Amino acid sequence: MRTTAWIASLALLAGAPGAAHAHLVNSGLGPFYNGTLHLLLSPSDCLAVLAVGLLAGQGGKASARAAAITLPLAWGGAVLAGLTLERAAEPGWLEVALLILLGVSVAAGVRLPAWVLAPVAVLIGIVHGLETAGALVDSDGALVAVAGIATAVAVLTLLTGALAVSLQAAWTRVALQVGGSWIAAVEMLMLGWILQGIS
Amino acid sequence: MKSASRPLVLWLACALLLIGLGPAPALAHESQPGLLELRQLTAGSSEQTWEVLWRAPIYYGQPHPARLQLPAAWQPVAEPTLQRLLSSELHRQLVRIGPETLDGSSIGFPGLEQTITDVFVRVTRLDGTESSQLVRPTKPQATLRGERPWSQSAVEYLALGFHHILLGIDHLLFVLGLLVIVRGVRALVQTITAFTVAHSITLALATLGYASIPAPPLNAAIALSILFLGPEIVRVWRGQTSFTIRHPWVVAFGFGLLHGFGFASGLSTVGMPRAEIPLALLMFNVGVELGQLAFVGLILLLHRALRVLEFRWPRWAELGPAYLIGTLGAYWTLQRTVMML
Repeated sequence: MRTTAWIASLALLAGAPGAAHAHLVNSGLGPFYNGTLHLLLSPSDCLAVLAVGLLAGQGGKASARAAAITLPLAWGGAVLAGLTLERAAEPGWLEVALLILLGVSVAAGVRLPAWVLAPVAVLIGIVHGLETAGALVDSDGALVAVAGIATAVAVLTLLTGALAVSLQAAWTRVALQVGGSWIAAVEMLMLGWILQGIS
Repeated sequence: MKSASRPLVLWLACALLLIGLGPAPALAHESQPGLLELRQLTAGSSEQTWEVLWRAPIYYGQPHPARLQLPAAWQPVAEPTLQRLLSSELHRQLVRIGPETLDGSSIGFPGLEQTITDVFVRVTRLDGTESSQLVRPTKPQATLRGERPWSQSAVEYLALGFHHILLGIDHLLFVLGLLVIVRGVRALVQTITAFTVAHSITLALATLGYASIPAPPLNAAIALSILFLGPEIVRVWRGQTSFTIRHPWVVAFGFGLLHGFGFASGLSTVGMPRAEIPLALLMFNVGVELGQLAFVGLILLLHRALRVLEFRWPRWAELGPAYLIGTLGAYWTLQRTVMML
């Protein structure tokens, strides 16, 4: 019962950024930090980076390296593309479905080689980057903010991937898989809400 | 730091460079706070006269975009005056307000939200009581409320110090250069401690008014400290040694004294209640240290992550950080020297 409550709370948080951060967060420290903070305060984006990092780290060093390079580049590129097209994607079932897939893969202990993981990271980056672009429309210093977002994605992916790679003890691997199952559970709840038109 | 971490510095330096792309022309000035002083001149039973001094720092070479918006009930006594100073514009105005209507009044700073400028608001009454508060770009308005608990001021000054170091790209680049040079945990602790002690000394001396250095030569000297580290980093990569490489804490202490004067520019004590100065100084410094520790911690974490993931870099990329830091140091030194002429 307590676990269900936690998952529901996390799902609420994960669903919040779409509405709460329709505009770029103002850190009072300029557009670079605005971009960084925007990512860190968007639970759905953080979950996406976490999921990719954990899955990549589970696949080994080469996969983690591939994710640390491709995810921020795709994310940043998609934000720029979204700004250029002046069209931002709404958070939807595709974003949630992809995260469920990633969470389940982490929970199942799937080990993806780098050549498979890289396109997955690119896809996640594009989907979330296009959504992020919506917050940057009409923002001052949007290009610097994109750099802040991409830097935050790179740092988080790198740290998460390295953490997952360095987990050697059996119980830590299990903990990692449990983390994946939580991501999947949160996103399943989100998907249910989206399908019922609640979110 | 050992070899695997070196390319990380390139990434970080690039990110820091991006932060600084906008501020490049004057760099060291843009995080200077603004200051709004309200001084009571007369106390009548029906109305009071107050002097309003709004010191708006020059922002990227232009007048500051933030405006001062006084409450509609405050009646201007005469036309406001404007005095252009070297690093700020001083707006002066006299206003009449009703008795006991100051507390609870709200003063706005439209346009502040688009900047990185904090504003000190200080109120001095005829009865000798003083109060101050800090306005941030995230909430560009001040509600005047007389005396406030010291803990509230302490948190504001701590945040101010933390923000000041995060915006100080030149200070962070210097710390980054030191991190690349030092070898081993002991040397790291010695070096960071020496830098901290040194800049705390001069920050205190400058804030308390015992010593000062004019901003233009100070900023040029800080840039020179970054330029100084560039060749030292190249020496480390080539396996050579030098006094700086053997004793980085000495260099950290020496240049740290300069950087402390730079930190002092972020803490204006003009018009600050005297009793509040020690608290402001302490908490501002603690904020600076926390920001510095967070930066060092992040770099060490990334260093560790890159080693775990065994990133391999081409030779030119490994040498990039040294040349980037050296080039930036040289550029800023020249730029700030030219600005003095």
